[in-house]
Formats: sequence, C-alpha cells, structure tokens
Amino acid sequence: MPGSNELEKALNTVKPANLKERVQKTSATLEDAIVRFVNVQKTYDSERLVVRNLSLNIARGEFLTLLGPSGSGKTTTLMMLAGFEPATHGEILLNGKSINRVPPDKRGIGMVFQNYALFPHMTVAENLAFPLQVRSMSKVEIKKRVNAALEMVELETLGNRRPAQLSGGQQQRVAVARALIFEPELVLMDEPLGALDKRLREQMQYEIKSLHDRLGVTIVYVTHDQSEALTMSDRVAVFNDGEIQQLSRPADLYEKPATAFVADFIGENNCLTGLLEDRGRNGICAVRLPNGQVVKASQVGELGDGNEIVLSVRPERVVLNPSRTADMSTLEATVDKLIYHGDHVRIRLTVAGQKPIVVKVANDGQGGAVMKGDVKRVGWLARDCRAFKRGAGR
Amino acid sequence: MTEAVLAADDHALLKTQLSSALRRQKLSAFLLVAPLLIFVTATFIYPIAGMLERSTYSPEFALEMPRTAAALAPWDGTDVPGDEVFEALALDFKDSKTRQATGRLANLVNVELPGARGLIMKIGRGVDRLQPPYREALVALDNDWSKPEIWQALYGLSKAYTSRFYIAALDLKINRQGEITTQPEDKRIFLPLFLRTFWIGALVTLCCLLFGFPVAYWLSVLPMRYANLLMILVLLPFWTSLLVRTTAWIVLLQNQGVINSLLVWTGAISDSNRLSLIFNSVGTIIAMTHILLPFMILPLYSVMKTVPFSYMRAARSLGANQYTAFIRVYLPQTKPGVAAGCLLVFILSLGYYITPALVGGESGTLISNMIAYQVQKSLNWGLAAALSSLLLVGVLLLYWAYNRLAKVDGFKLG
Ligand SMILES: Nc1ncnc2c1ncn2[C@@H]1O[C@H](COP(=O)(O)OP(=O)(O)O)[C@@H](O)[C@H]1O
Ligand SMILES: [Mg+2]
Repeated sequence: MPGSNELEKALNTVKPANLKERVQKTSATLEDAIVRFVNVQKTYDSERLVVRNLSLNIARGEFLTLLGPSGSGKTTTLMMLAGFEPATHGEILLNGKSINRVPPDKRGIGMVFQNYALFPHMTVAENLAFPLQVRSMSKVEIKKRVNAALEMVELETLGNRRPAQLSGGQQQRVAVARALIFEPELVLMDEPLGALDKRLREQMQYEIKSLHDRLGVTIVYVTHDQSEALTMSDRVAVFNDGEIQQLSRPADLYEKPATAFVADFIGENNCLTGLLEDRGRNGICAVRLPNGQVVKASQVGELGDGNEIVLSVRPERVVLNPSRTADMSTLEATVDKLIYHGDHVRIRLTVAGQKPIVVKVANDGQGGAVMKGDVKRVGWLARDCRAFKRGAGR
Repeated sequence: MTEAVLAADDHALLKTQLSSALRRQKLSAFLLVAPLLIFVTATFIYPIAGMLERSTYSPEFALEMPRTAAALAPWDGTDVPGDEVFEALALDFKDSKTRQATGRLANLVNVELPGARGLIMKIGRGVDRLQPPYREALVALDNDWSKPEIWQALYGLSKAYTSRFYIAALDLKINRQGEITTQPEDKRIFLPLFLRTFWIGALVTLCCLLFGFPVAYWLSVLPMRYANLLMILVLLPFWTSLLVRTTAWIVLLQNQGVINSLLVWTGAISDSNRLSLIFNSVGTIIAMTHILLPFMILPLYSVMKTVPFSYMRAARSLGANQYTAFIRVYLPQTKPGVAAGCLLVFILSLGYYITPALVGGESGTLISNMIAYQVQKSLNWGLAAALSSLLLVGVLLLYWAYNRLAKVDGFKLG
C-alpha cells in the first residue's frame, strides 16, 4: 500500500464528529482511494436512519473491515456499495465516479455472501464459469480460468460436484474463488465465515488474508467478530448505530479507543465512572470517583469541566499490589471472586462502590496467594487508563 | 461392568419383553391408522378394483346362453361355425323366451354389432316355430345368420373374460379373419377424444403456468401482510361452487355475453362476427384454466418461498443482468414447483368432467364426458370401465415419467 500511510494518519486522528471536514481535508491525498462514501445516509422506513451521515475512504489494495454489533448497519453499508440498496442521501464513488445509479452487475464488484449463495443447480465448475459466461468469454478461456481458480483454492478434483456435496469450508472457498474469478478490483464479504466452526474459521481467515496479499485486491469485510477484524484487517471501521465510531489500524483500536463504546466493544474492559476534577496537562487528567478518591487517566477527546467521565482500563493493565510511582493511581479493593482459566487467573474485585473490576493475573502456581474477602491494593498507569466523556458515541 | 453381562435365561426373558413391548406399539399404531385404511379401501381401492374387473369380465351372455357359449368355445373365429352351434343357439333361445330375456339379449348383442337388435328380436318372435335342422331354419328366418359378423359378435360375447372392451376403447376391431385391426379413420371415436383430452390438458397446463408463475412470484416477494391478502384472492375460487364459476363464464363468454358485447361496443369486432368463445374447446380451456389456477400457484409459491433472495443478488454481483440472472439462476430453482404444479394441473384436467360438459359444446368435450355417456346413456359399462382404466394407466405413466425425471434432477413429489 504505497502512499497510504499519510492517508491513514489523516483519517485516524479525526473524530467522527467532523467527518465532513475530514473528507475535505484528506481529499488531496485521495487519488488512490478506490471507494469513497460521501455523507451517505440510509433509511428503510423513512423514520429511523440505519446509516447516518457516513463518510469513508477506502484505499486501493487495503483490507478494510466493518466491525460492529448486530443491527449497526454494516450489511446495509455493504449493500449500498454493491448496489442492492439505494442510498437515500449522499454519494458513493468508485474510482472517482459516482455509482449511485449504476446497477450492481455493471459495478464489477465481487461479493461473498454469508450463506455463500452458491447456485445449487450448478456444479462447482459451472458456478465458477458463470461470471465469465455472462461476460461472453470464450469457452477455452473460461476453462483455463476455472481450472486456475480451482487450483488457487485447492479444489482441483471437486469441479464436478454440486455445492451441496461439499463441506462448509469447501463451499466457502468456492464462494471466494467465484467472487475473484472475474478479477474485480474490489471484493465485498459479508460475514463470510459466520457459519464455520472455530478451527475452520481460523484457517479460512488465514487463507483469505493470504489471497488478499497475493492478489492485491481491495477487500471490504464485514464481521461482528472482533478477533477476526483485528487479525485480518489493515484498517477497521467500528460501527455502532449507523455511525463509524472509530476508523483505525487494529492496534490503535485496542490501545487507543476513541470512544467508550469502542473501548468496551473491542476486547475486555473495566469501566469506572467519575467527575472531571482537573483537566491537567499533556493529556493526563484527574478524575474524582464517587468515593472521593482521585485517579489519573489519559484524556480522550474534549472533556468539559465537571462533566461525567467514563474511565476505561484493560484487565491485563491493572496491577495487583502496585509499587507507588508518580503516575500510578492506586485504589483499595475487596476480592469478590477468583476465576481459574488455566494459564491465567481472573480476580474480580469490588472497588470504590462501583461495578466490579476484573484483574488478569498470570498463573504462577501460587493460586492460594489471594483469597475471597481479602482487601488488596490495585493500580494502573495513567496511560493505560482512558477517560471519555460520558454518552459520547454511546 | 460385570453386572451388565446377562445369563442365557435373562436373554430369553429380555427378548420376550422386548417383542411384547414392540407388539403393543405396533398394535396401537395400526389402530390409529385403521379408520383411514378402512375408509380408503372402501371408497377408493374397492371401486377401482371393481372398475378394472368390469373392463375385462362380462359374464352376462354366458349366463343367459350357456349352451351357445359352450359350443362357441372351440370355434376358430373364421367364417360360420358348425351345426351344433346353431342347435345350441336355438335351444338357448327357447329357454330364454320362457325367462323373457330376449330383449336384454338383443341389447347386449346390439352393443357389439350395431343393428343386430332386429335380428335377435326376430328369433325371439319366431323361436316357437323353429324346427331342426336349425341351421337352415335360422338362415331361412334371416340370411344374416349365414354371415360371420353376427357369429363373431356372439363369440366375443360368449367369453366371460374378454378384451373386447379394450379393443373397442382403442378404436380397434376384429376382422373377418379374426385378427385385430384398426378401425377406418371415419369410425374412430375414442382415440381422437383421448388425444383431444391430452391436448387440451396440455394447453390448460401451459396457460396455468403462464398466468400462475408471475402471481406466485409476486406472492413470494410481497411483504407478509399483502401476501396474505393476495393469497386469499388466489384461494377465493376454492370457496365458490364449481358450478357457479362455470356458469359465470357462460355469462361472460357467450355470444351475447359481456366480452363480446364489450368488443362490439368498442368497435374491435363487428356485430355480425362475434367471437365464439364458449361451447367449444376455447371455452373449455378458458374455464378450466381459471378453475385449476390455484393448483398451479400453490406449489409454485411454496417452492419460490424457499429460494433465498441472495441467489439473485449473487448472480447480479457476478455480472448478470436482471434478465440473465432470472433465467439462469432463479428459474432453474423453481423447477420442482413448476414440475409439481404442471403435473397436478395436467392430471386434474385429464379427468375434468363438469366444466367441459357445461361449456365444451361439441369440440370441447373430453374423454370423461364420453365415459359418463357410456355409463348413463349407452349403458355400456364395460366400455366405460375400459376407457377409465386406460385414462388411469395414462396418468400412472405420467407420474412414473415425472418421478424418473425428478430423480435425475434430485427432487421428488411425495
Ligand atoms: N430490508 C430491510 N428493510 C427494513 N429494515 C432493514 C432491512 N435490512 C436491514 N434493516 C434494518 O436496518 C438495521 C441495520 O441492519 P444491517 O445493516 O443488516 O445490520 P448489520 O449487518 O450490522 O447487522 C437493522 O435494524 C435492521 O433491522
Ligand atoms: Mg449483517
């Protein structure tokens, strides 16, 4: 992805609130954006916006994942891009040209459906030949390409089978091969691995990713599985309620969530609430918990004075019996429950009269060191604890 | 697990326990099925068996004229039989006169040999004066007794088990040499009628498919609320009497009816050449298409409902336009519904009776109307049974062919 670093940087740092501004700001570097959503809205019933004011640029060759809970508008976004649902407002551009009025078959976008949608009355080879036949390719050329595609997904011997005679994983591969066989620049995948068991899913993730690396196509991938999103993507767009909450590289998504929703949705998370005490300097602020204690946290976004604050800290970043250093906030907590996980132990503690927090401790074989009812000190570094304005981006 | 190993005695005990438990299960299952089994046997299997028997078994003549039947048995069927047969016939007639069975006999023979009624009645009147030698006496009474036709007719009648009904039903006949040959073109009645029945059935099926397919498709894509409403409209004809619907078509289609009047009024046709839309095959096709339409729509709908939306979308995303996607992806998947609907409508139309009788006129009557005629008017039940059996065989063949096709394509009816 040459040249897309700048673009990424530009996109990552902008908050969802000023999407419009972002599009304009980054448009200079967008020569290599293959898809652009410009202020796209969608409603099915003219009452509720399923997609709100979506602006998004997809770089050529990138693997972009739309991640979000069920009903957050991911499929709708994908369907608008594929041409099966019209956008009720805004514009979608493919290679710089508006495709709002281009029918799906003229867009040249490959698509993998959740149930694969392999045509049951055709053999695997016929399924693969279909997109080539409708493009009036010669028989010889079709045969060559079908064989190459079968080879690509390692199903050389199964060309004459019907889809129903294949296992789930094999069907999945055929569906991917069929979406790629006419060499589209852009391939959309809507929860393509949702129906597979865990092992197969991990294998297919790997195969799809390596196909992406080999062929250099742009892939827009929809999933509600965060680990899938984190392992496969170049960038992830986290959706909630029809809005992009954050668009970042996977690592940033985990380390630097932009909203409380993202912090909660990606990975495990402990939540504490409080009021802003001091806006501080260098992005480190002080927050007063309801029991009067003050903790330090990295400030995310604009936090108004006296606002209600949500603090978020990952279980593995909470330290048990911390050493007292300047930027370590410590609290007293009562052990409520020990949960044994084999390689690690989770300790649930009640702290400062709030929802219990969980601490992840490596299993060092000394399981008896902590007992239920013990009063312990827990703490975390200010950079590991993020402070969000309550209610922002739900 | 030593406790689990059973001794030999325990094995036997276990076996009897198991079999008695199974027997009880089977008995209760049978009792549940029994009412339906009895009903089906009494109302379906028994009448069909009776029909098949009647089409081949006809003992009336042999019962009335036992001597003649016995004497004709060794005859080779050519020319005129020997004197002993003439004698047996004369003696049987003397007997039958006392039972006043001559009229019935005359009817029986007349069915086989049209015009033979007079011949028999003549004997009936003159039987008392018949003296041996009987051959000369009978020929003196009527010269027809010296010709082979009447004897072939009697020979055919004399056998209790006979193929003559089938021969007649297939427009065949037995010639002077006793061979089975086809009837001359102008005397064929039943085969053309069978052909017409199948032809009209095929046309009705085609019309039902043409009208039913879009409706079923619409039903399957409409939101539930509207689909239910439309479904009621589709089913409405089911809840109206067949007779009412058929007569409604008469009102619409007749010469002075709504459609013709409308066409004349708009000037599409002149008053003098109003279209003849009813009391012919056109009327039969229109009325039957209307009546059988739900039988096409319902199986189509049930299949279309199960075809996921994503197939069409997948086809479009692969570059097929709407038309190609429909033809190459959607249509093949509705094949089971199309086949089931067509089979259902075609088979039902083969046996349709009331509608063609009311609106069919001369050119629109079907084989079932002929069967009804043979049962009610001509009283030739044997022939009616043979015609019905042939129709039944035709339907079974169709069903067999359908299942063969279905197996190849991987779907099956029932
Ligand atoms: N065809 C449709 N008609 C009406 N509402 C729809 C339709 N498809 C989706 N929706 C609604 O739009 C919202 C977003 O759906 P979707 O895009 O499928 O979410 P996701 O794929 O993220 O689970 C949901 O609330 C869903 O009920
Ligand atoms: Mg979805």
